[in-house]
This record gives sequence, C-alpha cells and structure tokens, in this order.
Amino acid sequence: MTGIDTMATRSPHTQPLASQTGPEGRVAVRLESVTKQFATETAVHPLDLAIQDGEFVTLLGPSGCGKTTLLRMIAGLESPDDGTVTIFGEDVTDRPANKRPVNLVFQRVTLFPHLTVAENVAFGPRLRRVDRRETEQKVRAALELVRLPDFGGRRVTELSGGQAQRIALARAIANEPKVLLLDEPLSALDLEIRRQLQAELKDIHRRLGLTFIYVTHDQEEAMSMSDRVLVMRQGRIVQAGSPVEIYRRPGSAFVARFLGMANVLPVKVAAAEKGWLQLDAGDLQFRARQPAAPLPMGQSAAMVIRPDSFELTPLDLEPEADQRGGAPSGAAAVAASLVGRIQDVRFIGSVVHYRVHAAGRDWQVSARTGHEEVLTEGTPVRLTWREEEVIAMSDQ
Amino acid sequence: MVRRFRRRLRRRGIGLLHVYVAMLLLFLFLPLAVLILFSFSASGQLRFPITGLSLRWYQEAFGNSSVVSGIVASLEVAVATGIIVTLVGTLAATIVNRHRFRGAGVVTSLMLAPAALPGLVIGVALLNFYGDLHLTLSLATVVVGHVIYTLPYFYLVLSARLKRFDPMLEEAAADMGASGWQRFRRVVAPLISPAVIASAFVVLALSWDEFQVTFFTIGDQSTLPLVIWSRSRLSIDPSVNAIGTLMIAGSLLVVFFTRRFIADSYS
Repeated sequence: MTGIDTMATRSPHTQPLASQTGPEGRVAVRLESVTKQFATETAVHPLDLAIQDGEFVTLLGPSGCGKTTLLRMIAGLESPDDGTVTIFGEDVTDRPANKRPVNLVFQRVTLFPHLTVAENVAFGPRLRRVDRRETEQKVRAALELVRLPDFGGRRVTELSGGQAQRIALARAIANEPKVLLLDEPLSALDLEIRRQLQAELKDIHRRLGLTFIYVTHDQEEAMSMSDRVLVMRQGRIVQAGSPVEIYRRPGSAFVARFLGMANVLPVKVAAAEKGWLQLDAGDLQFRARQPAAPLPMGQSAAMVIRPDSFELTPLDLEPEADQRGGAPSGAAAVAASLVGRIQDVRFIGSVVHYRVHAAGRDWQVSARTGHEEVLTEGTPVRLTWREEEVIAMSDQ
Repeated sequence: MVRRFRRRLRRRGIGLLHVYVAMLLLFLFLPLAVLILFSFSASGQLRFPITGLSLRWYQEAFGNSSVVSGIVASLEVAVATGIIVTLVGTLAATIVNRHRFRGAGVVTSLMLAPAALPGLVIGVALLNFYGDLHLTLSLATVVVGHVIYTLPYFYLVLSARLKRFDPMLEEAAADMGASGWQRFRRVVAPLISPAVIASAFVVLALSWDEFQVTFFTIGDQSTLPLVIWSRSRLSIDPSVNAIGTLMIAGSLLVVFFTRRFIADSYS
C-alpha cells in the first residue's frame, strides 16, 4: 500500500469545518514571532500563526506583502531573522529545506528539464532510496491524482503550462510531505485553466486530507478554495477568517478594497449605541452595525455598502421636486435612501452592474436580472439599502 | 521590365537578401573549395582545369613522417589543453556565476582578457618568461600557451549557459530533499554538461590549428600548423592542400558535434 493510498483513506473526516481553528485540531505549522528583514525592508514583521492539520489556508495579499517570504520560511528556503518555525511539534527553524517534511509548488515551472515526467515525479522517492516497485506505484498514483496518468514517458519540455504545474504538484505529492506549500502555482495560467485547476486542487486537498498553505494575490482564488484566508499587508496579517467571514465583515478599508469591494467611503463615527454606529460621511449620515473590533466615537473609519446590498427603484413616476432623497433636511439625520441617475450599465448575464450617480459620488450597484427589467443609462432611480448590511471598519 | 523581373523574383521568394547571402557564402567558401578541389588533383600544378583526380597528395602527406608526427603532436597538445581548460574553466565559471561575491566582475574581466590580446603578444611574453625561468621549450610549454589562449573562450561559452541556469531548479531539488552534493550531481551537472562538452570542443578546435602562440613556444617537435607553414614557405607543395582538406574536415566534425551538444542543452 502506498503512502498516497494511506493519505487518501484519511480523507474527509480530518477535514476541519470552515474557519474552525480551535485548539482541538493538531497544529501542522506554528510560527512564533517570526521576522524577516531584507536589506532595508522588513518583509515579515514579528508574526504568530498556527495552521491546523488538514486545513487549506491561503495567504492573500498584494505583491511585496511578505506572503511568499513567509511561505519560503516554512519551506526552509529562507531563514527567519528571529522566531521559530515548528512543523508537527518539531522545531525546524535551523533545518535546511532538504530536511523539512514539506514540499513547495513554485510559481514558475521548476520541473527538471533533463528528466522525463515520471523521473521528475520519482525524484523525491529516489533520493530517499525507496525501492523501485514502490517508487513506480507512487509515481502512478501521483500522476493519476493530477489526471495525467499517461504522461510518465513524456519530456518535460513538451508540456503546456497547466500540465507542467500538474506534474509539479504530482512531484510534490509523491514526496509525501506533511504539509504542501503552494506559491501562486496558477498565476501564470490562462483564466479557464486556472479555474479548472482551482477546482481540482480543492478536490485533491479534500481527498488527501493534507494541510495546504497557498499563497496568492488573487482574491477570488483565495475565496473559492480556502478554509481560512489570511490577508497580509506590509509584512503583517491584517485579517484572518473564513472566506465568508472576511467577505461579510472586512476588518479594514484595505481588506475591503483588496477584495475588490466597491463603495468604500471614509467616515467618522458620530455616535455609538446598542451595537449600532452612526457614521458621518460628509453631507450624509449612515447607520451600521458596530464591528467586532469596536470603533469608538469620533474615530475616523471606513464604510462599505456592497453592490448587492442595494435596492434600485426607477423614479419615472415621482415628481422632480421630490428627488432630494428620503432623508429629512436636518444635517444629523440618517439617510434612508438616495436619489440619483444611472450612469452606466454592464449586463453580464445573471447579474447586471449599474453605476449610479447620487449625493455627489458614484455608487456601484448590482442586481440579479431574474425577471426584472434591466434599466437603461440615464434612468433616474432611488437607492435604498439594508442597514444591517452596511459594514463599518477601520480606515487603515 | 526590371520591376516585372523583381516581382517575379519576389513571387518565388527570392529577394536581394538571398543574392547577398549567396555572394557572401561564395566569398567565404570559394578559396576553401578550390583547396579541396586541388587536393584531389592528379597533377602537381595548381592550375585550372584540373586534368585528373587522384589521392596521391594524401598518400604523400601521410607518407611523410613530419606530417604524421605533426598530426600526433597537434592532437597531444589539443587533448592536453582541452582537459586542463575543462577542469580549470568549469570550476572557475561555476564559482563566479553561481556564488556571487565581491570582485566577481573583476575576475570575469581578467579571465576574458587573454582573448582580446594578440596571440603574438602572448607568444612573445611566454617566450621571455620561459627564458627567464630557463625552461626548455617543448610541447608542454605549448600547452601552457594554449591554455592561456583558449580559457577565455571556454569560460565565455560556459558562463552563457550558467547565466541561463534557473537557480529555482536547485531550490526545487533542495525542497525535494536533495543535499548540496545531490543537487549538483542530479540537477546541475546533467544540465550544464552539454555546455561543458561543447565548450571543450571549441577549445579542441582552437588548439588544433593555433599558430601564433605555438610558433613562439614550440620546442623540437612541430605541431601540424607549423609543419604546413614550414613546408609551404619553401615551395608550393600540393600535399599541403590534402593536409588542409583534412584539417577542414576535422574542424567541421568538431563544429557538428558542438552544435549537436548545444542543441541538446536545455534552456
């Protein structure tokens, strides 16, 4: 029985629930006050992190945020200036890459060009002097896992980009790592192949029950695959949580913008009471729920109304004079609706995106097309929104 | 008229470029072709038209002991030079290109300098140097000269390959569990060996027909180029054509193998 089979039998039971990071699971990777400095730039600030066994964790952030450095420190290709790296309870901080029970799938193709596909996949087992029949079995199992069972005899230079990354994945898996590290393995591929491989990676993760640590700058990729997303910025983890948590409750304007959220407004906390905030956005006031990290009165903050939190009603019947919006004229009053005009319409099938100009700025609004009428450019509309979906957050 | 002619040429894919390339090739290879042709001539007169074909000049060349010993001496020098340069050059190029250190640029410049020096100067300098040391000139002193003269070319060709070597392949090998030696054995060496062999062939070809440095550093034994020189200096000797043809054949063979190895090397 090969190791891959053993791993496969472990499958869905060890899979933690989304975002479940409680102490009951075994910790696969633990970083304690890990720091890394490059020349004058701090790549990773002192950082603590625990990744559970079987978890699919994604480090998400813009380029230069330290996510790849963090991954390479786990792989042993970069050594931290300070702090410790522990893998399944063993301190590996001072161990070189070749003595760590992890494997990395690189962003660029790093298959060995002088070896065939099968020889590449057998590279790890052969180094460890696994006997020939067992090696062959491992290679076959790994190639089947990445759905290229007949590619063993091919030359590496004949592979397409997507195939090469599949083989790189097979090579890493055949080495039976305890943790699989993936450094933007799909970023060089076409969108279609990328989507397909995302789904397959998630499936492979489910089948092997192996811990995956994935690095990407693509928020959609992070959201669609991970159990837990760690958003990084300038060498720090700024938010951690399940994709749903992060999408519903971005902790800062940076995270909201990085996730591609529209309608991010700078605001000031005007009042706070009973779990609700009153936010001052210049000439408009909004109500929002107090976030998990509470915002005190007078604090500058940010606010998001997601495009799908809006309701759009055409105004063609209302008289022109009434179009100041639903808000009473008092300065401190909270807006309940806005009146504006549709500037732009982008119809993309099941959803339609509108750009609405109202109250001196543009708002992104999306609506399901369903059986409702698609409005046209220039239509005067009233914008309403669900207050409980307005998100208040730090403006950092 | 002219335009129509041009258009017809263009339709056949023949342009000025083709004519130019044909002329250039003619210019490059006509003298060689003539040499090869005369090497098979039956008569001793280097004059057209040739009256008959024969292999007598080849027989004469190989029947001549000085030619044969010249060939042997040249081979000895070339092989010795090739081995020394391959060992020294591979080490130097690997160290300079894979372990960036302070002064690497200076080392590279110094390594390449002999290629820019006239062979004549290297030869004279070596002759003075040997004289100061009271060394007897021999094939060994020639080898030293050839090493100095060919090392830059070896270094240049191999460095070009090493610059294209993706350091991430080594990282990937380390990640797969390979130690430093295993990485060199299983990844680096197989990938650079075609370039090493190709560079070694370049050295063989350069050493095989080197004249200037050899002229100043040679002792009692003559290498093939010196044999040819001394024979054709005194009289017109048609057997030189035969030797020349053989040298061309040897060089072409080396070029062929070199290209094969470069084509086989992985980018």
